[in-house]
Amino acid sequence: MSRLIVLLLAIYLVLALVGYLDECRSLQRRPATRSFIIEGR
Amino acid sequence: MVMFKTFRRIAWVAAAVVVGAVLGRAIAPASLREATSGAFHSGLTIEQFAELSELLVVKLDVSDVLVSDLHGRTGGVQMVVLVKGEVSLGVDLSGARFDHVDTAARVAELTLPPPGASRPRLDHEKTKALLIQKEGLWSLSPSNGPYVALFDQAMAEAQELVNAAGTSEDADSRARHHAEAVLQLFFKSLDWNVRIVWSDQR
Repeated sequence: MSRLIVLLLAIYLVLALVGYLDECRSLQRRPATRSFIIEGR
Repeated sequence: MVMFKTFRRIAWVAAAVVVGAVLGRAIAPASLREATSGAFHSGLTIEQFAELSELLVVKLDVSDVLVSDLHGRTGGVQMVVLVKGEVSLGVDLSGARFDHVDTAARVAELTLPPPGASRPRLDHEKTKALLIQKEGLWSLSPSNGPYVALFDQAMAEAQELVNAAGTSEDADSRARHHAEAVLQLFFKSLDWNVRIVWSDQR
């Protein structure tokens, strides 16, 4: 039973790490700060 | 006898005044005669109604729902925003010109540039984020970076959306009708019959 919990936890951590790395990779392709016009042209 | 001489002098002076007035009336140029009657008109100029440009501006309230998202390979983040804003449509009178001006018949043709959208602005008090959520494996990550990046992207898209509303066909038509109505009213008050033509519809 405890092995199953450890296995599920490990899978969760791996998936979370994959998601986090994908986030970082996607956001790195974008400029760190963006400026946009609030008013006026 | 002295009385008779005085009367004769007065009669001569009166006759001279009457003859002078008649001759002056006959010799004076026509435009001067018109001016003295209070009906002198030099014609229409753009400067006469340039101050009306503020009245020709139509403000459009924009209200829309924007769905913005940011996706990677294993997930993404999505945001739904209720966008409220305002955009102005106006006619630039510095580009207007008069054609075929007939001062005698008081008829003219006015060519106007097409109305343009300006000053798009978001109403930050009424613009609201209705939903923001992560999807896929991104939802397992505790990072807040995607939310910040998506918020910036959504605000830029909302600004574009408000500006785009000002360039729609309906908004353009409303701005033209409004400008025509205001200007026709103005020219009618000056007793001029002016035909308004748009430079892009000639």
